[in-house]
Amino acid sequence: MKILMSGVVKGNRNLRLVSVVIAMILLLCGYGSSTWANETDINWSAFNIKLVTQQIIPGYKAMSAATDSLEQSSKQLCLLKDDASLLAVKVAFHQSMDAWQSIQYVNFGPIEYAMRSASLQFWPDKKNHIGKQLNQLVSSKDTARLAQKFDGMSVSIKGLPAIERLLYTADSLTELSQDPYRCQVLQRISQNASEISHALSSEWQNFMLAQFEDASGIDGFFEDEIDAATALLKTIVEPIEIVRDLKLKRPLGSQFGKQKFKRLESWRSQRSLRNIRLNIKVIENSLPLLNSVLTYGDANRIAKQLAKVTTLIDQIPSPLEQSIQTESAYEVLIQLVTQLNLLHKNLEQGVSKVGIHLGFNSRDGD
Amino acid sequence: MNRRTFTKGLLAFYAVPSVVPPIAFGGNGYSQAICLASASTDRSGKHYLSLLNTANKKVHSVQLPGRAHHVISHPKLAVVAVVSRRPGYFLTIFNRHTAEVTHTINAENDYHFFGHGVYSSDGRYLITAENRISTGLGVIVIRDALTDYRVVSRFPSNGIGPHQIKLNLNEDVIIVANGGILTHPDRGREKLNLDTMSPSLDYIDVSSGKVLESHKLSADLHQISIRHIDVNQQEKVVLVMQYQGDKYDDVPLVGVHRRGESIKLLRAPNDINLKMKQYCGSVCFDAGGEYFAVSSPKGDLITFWRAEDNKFVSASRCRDACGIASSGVAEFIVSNGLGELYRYAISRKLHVFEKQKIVLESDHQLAFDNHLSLV
Repeated sequence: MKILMSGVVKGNRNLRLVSVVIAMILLLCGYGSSTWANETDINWSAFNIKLVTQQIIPGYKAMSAATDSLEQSSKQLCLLKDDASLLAVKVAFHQSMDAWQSIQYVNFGPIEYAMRSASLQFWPDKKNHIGKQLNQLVSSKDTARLAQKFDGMSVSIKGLPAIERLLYTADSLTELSQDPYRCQVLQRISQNASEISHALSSEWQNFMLAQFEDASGIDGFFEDEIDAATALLKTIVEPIEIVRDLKLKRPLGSQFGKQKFKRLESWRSQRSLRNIRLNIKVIENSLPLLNSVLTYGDANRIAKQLAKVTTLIDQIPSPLEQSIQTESAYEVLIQLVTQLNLLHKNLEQGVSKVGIHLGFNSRDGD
Repeated sequence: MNRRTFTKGLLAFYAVPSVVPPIAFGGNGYSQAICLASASTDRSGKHYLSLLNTANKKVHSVQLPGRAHHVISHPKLAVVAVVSRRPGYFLTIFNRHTAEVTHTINAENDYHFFGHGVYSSDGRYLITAENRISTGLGVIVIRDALTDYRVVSRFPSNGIGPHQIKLNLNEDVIIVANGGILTHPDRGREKLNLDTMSPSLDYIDVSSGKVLESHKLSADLHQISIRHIDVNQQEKVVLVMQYQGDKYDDVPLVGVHRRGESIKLLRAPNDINLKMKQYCGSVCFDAGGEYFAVSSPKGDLITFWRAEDNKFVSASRCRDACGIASSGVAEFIVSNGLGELYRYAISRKLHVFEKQKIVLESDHQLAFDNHLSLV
């Protein structure tokens, strides 16, 4: 701003007038007002607490509620064994996956404990661990493995992808009703997802929130509020790389013709595109809060870039499992990869300008 | 439950440090002045050699022609050798008092540096790990400081992608971490042989270039790249690794080795092993050779291990931390990508650690690169 004014003011009266008008427009647009961050007085503590209380904790609560109904509806299905009950489980599965895709960006804290993340969703499963382990468990008919031995079992079969495999087969109702043990497995995994979700929700409310309220406290999780803000901002920015590399580039392959739809996330339930949309929605939802710390220029740039990304996603016909096979959608997906790169760059540069450096050694090692 | 028990209970993998307020060297409780060096990069992407004087807390940075990796301290003179990061072509020798360049060495035709090297203890020879571009095979190159670093010897590293190298106590054997990953400068840092990579730890006779021992991990672990090593007074070698396989594979990333034996792989407790995110960046024994510290920058994690019984001791969250140097017995200095330094002291009785931030003054907003060296 200062550069613009002093550069223009030299000499020419008309230009001076123009510059005043520009300055007024910018002011009216919010530049310089308290909506946009001034690098020196960002209240990181307030930012952190708002992000945790307005986004993370509600996210885990939603996950608890959704997996509760997944557990209940699975129980019901095993009793009633009818189409309506199967449909209810499928609805609850989708709600649970929606909730998970909206909160999986939080990759630190309680989720790191006891392999909870992989237990909720083991993906990608390049070596078909889930298929092998699940078949082995279902054919064992061993009820002890669902009771006291469940904790010691492979994490690959403890979460949503294993449930998806049980629900989305050609004739899942017959399989689940004719084999009560198979249905018990479904019930047990649903219960496990619910237990983990409740633990995450409770630990964030009861323990993690306090870490943000007093980030520089002795023996805390963080060193200070900047450290805490860095952890939070990393969780918002880093999933873009996961969407780009694992959810898009890997199934797309090197060129059209080399795409593999089975590499898409949740391809069995045909919700791969929805997952990506929800992952990006997290950034959209964070924008108002991000705007409170970013400079006007960066906030604007990020919002515009995000709009490009969502417009592209909206252009892709669903289900992605089918559209990835078409040249037109493939082309849009390639563009999406490029635009995600730019979004990542914009975010990284934007937070860097206000003093949050997401990582140097952690991103580019040797 | 208060936060202290939370930290101990739920997230037990973060050992509870006795955090004390940031101090400057020369402050209470820690008066020893230490000089360190690290490659660094500023926010605009310029690369430097940074010399850190902990007596006056100053960081003096000298711009480099490109990104460097390891700074090798001359054992007798106030000289440091800065090796370019792979695939790099410069090796610059500085007088660390004046920060003047005394020698600029370019990799020979068909060779590039891999970022690491070591001086012989008399300071006469500088040994580097290099890539012979036309064959893709690793080469150990020895230069003589007395003849302006003319190459006097060159022999195969016995593998692809040799990374960190060390000398044994007698200095008749060079210990090589052959990372196993094939790269070619035309393809930047792209990894070209992940399916067939075969890393090894090699002991090579310095005078003849003869391979005395070569150790590999089992075939199912061939994608664990052995990259950084250190050796203690008992000639125990610690190796830390980087995994190139699938995201959910939970593999060991730390190992120890003694001549005549096979590599012994170590695992941190489950959650900590996962928290390393399949990547360790640097390893260093303390001055007594009693403990070693391992950095895992992708997981913002430093772990401490006891050499005697190879036991995991504790772990600390340290943001973007990678470089480690030892500042004394049971003491380490850790550098990070935010241009910060931390001092860790391990209580040898209780196996807990104390962590202190060391306040520095720098003209640039720096990120300290992967390795930190005592100079």
